Amino acid sequence: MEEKAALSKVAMYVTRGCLVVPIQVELHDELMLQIQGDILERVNRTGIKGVIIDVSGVAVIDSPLGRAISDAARMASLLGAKTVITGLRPGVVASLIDLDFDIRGVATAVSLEEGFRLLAPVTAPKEEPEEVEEAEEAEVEIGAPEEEQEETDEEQEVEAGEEQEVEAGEEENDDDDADEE
Amino acid sequence: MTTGRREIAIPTPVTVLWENILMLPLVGTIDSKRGQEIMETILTKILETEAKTVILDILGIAIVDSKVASHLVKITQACKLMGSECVISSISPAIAQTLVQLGVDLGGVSTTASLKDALVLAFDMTGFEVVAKKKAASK
Repeated sequence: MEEKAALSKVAMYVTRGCLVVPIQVELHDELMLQIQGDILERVNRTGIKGVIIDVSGVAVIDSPLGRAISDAARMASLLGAKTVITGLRPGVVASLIDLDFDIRGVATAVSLEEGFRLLAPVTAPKEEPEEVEEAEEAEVEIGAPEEEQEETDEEQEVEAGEEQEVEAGEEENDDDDADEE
Repeated sequence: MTTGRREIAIPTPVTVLWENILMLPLVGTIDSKRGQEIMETILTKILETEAKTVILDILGIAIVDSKVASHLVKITQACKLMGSECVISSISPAIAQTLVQLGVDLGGVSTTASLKDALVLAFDMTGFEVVAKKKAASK
């Protein structure tokens, strides 16, 4: 694509592994299309796993605009980023429902905080269990009996409260072993 | 008959039943105006409390026809847009019969026969568990 997606007036930032798109200006179709493009470009570039479109600053959302927003959410989902629309105002919701807005396939949350909570499974904690698994596997595969014995001796000396630190140390040591091999 | 009906403001008592759980007992009938009122009140309350579950108790609704059902569905969809799931409770056998005979699609909303079941479901959805006290169990 030659024409680079012109940066829309809406700033986006990444927090807690989510791309947050706060829309605090009056939306119109053209601007939403721009934002749509920006979001997709950003998701594609960064490979981010969660997107939050916060529309708490938007007082009026008509039918085409609603579709554009939910389309943006669906498109981002196609790129592998779970998208949540947050901050829909009661008045906006009532009018969208009156307009027979199709709510299927769109995740929504009442506040930004709830949005983060909804996205938590795909963003934050995903990395931790993987690391743990890898560490465990490494321990099993490498074995390194001599070192482990030494460390267990150390562990016995150390107070119970400090065990976690020692375990963390083990993992580091095992990683070093892997590198050497 | 209908012209003689006086317009009395029917209250919409949305109550916080538990953390993250709202409950609204519905009475009388639901026409479009009343439907709007209910929706507005409930959405504002969701915004206020950030509740995750709303129980709509329709024990006080005499007749549930396709119109009333469509209002109920709209309310549940609106709640969903606010990030809150609805449970419709106190569905009587007669209501269940009419809904199916009329071919009304409730759009995947959870329904229960009693408010008690709805509460259990709501607890389940919000991650609470009710456990009997040891003393109470031994008695």
